[in-house]
Amino acid sequence: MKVQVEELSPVEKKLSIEVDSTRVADELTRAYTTIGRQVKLPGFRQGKVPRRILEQRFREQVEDDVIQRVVQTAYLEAISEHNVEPVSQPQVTNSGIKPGAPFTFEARVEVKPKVEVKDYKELPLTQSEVNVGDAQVDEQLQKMRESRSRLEPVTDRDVARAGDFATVDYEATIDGQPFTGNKAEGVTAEITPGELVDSNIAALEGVKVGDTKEIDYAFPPDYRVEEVKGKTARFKLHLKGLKAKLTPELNDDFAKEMGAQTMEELRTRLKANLEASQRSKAQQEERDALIKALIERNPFEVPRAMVERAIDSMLEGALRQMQRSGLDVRNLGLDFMRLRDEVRERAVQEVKGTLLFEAIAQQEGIQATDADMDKKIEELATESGQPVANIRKYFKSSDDRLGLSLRLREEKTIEFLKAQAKYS
Amino acid sequence: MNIHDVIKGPLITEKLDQAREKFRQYSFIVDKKATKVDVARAVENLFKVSVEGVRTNIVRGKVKRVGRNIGKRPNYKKAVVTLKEGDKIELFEGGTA
Repeated sequence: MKVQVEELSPVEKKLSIEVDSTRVADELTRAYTTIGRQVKLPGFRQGKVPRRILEQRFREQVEDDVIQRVVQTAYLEAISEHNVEPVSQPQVTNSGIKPGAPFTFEARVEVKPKVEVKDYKELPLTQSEVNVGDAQVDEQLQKMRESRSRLEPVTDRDVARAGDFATVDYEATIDGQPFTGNKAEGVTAEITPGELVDSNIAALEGVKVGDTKEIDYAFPPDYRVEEVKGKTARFKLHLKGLKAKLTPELNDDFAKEMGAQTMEELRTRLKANLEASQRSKAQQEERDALIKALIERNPFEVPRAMVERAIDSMLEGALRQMQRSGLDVRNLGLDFMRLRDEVRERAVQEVKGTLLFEAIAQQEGIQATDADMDKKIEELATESGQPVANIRKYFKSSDDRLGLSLRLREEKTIEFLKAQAKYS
Repeated sequence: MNIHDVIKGPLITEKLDQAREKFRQYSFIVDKKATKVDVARAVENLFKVSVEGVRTNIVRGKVKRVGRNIGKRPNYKKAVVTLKEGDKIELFEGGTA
């Protein structure tokens, strides 16, 4: 086997491979023998069909098959022999099998670029602080209260008051003419100053249940419905019922409902959560800043296949998250081509970052040791509240272990860079 | 008889394949009304070879039954053509690799 490696660009290589004719012939013999055992042709007993006849009938099929097999094995041998690290499927062009002559083919493949990182010390970073005050905790608590609040029918009075939620039937006209969506029944609106289109109707204050009131309302000029925007409509509102919002008190009972023992505990827990999310956000930002700074100092090209794969995994992650939160992805009518373009820039940065960190790790001899792995596994166990053995089992296969060790190496590299960075 | 109507197709079986190898005999299914002379002329013209001899026989169709139904496969005329030494018909030879 003869192999020629040609560098088309830093991220693309062309392999010209020549396979000995004997090897191809061997493969052909094997293929014809297998097919000869299987086929049934009229006039011949099964397995007794001569090769000549088989060649006449199944030539194309067998040769395609053999080419595929030969190309695959030869290609794999070639890349391992010449230390080519492909990141994409090879584009193969071949010249077909000719008896007696060696079989040649060309494979174009994208490769990981060789990255030599310079100037990765003293990268500019801004010191970010993790700082969660009581105010933020309060805000969070308030949000939780809101989300726990319920609407209860009002029974002790029948006159609408500000802050009530009204159940309303309405019918609207513009210049005496009905328009699309001008009628609805049983709509819930809050009686508070604001825009009607946001379901806020202040005008109902003081109206009795069962009464009807007419108001004029001008749709905002930037309203999303073309037909009515900027026009004034006369709304006939019929108040059907009243509901009041019941917000739970912030006490230990509330805390218990949220899974804590006391209010005190809930507060500390919220604070810890907020701190953790701030910290991870800060980490993400620092990582991005590092990558940006590194890219600026070390421009290089990235193979398309890697970017596409990064886009794939980003979109997949996003979709999975949507699915988990109960959205039916198929019904969203997402334009995947556009989405891909939108995240492309980020994906390029991500790929470059990974390559840069990898290169730095190599240059600095940073590695994830087994001890590091064990430590990380224990950390993950405490984080997820599962026994260590479970997590260990999860990382048993060599692929998963490799993934983990790569992640750890990147983390260590980032730590290393941060230790060297210049904070401003 | 028109030479294009004589030969209906090649006949290739294990046995006939051996005959071809050993005795340069090529076999065809031919029209039932074709004579040996017709066959010889047709083979010479269509395949551009020289014919040394032709032997024919009628192959009786087998009686086949599927359940209660009895049927008979059609009879056909088989012609075994011996070519002059050195001649051959590509159609029967198969691949070249």
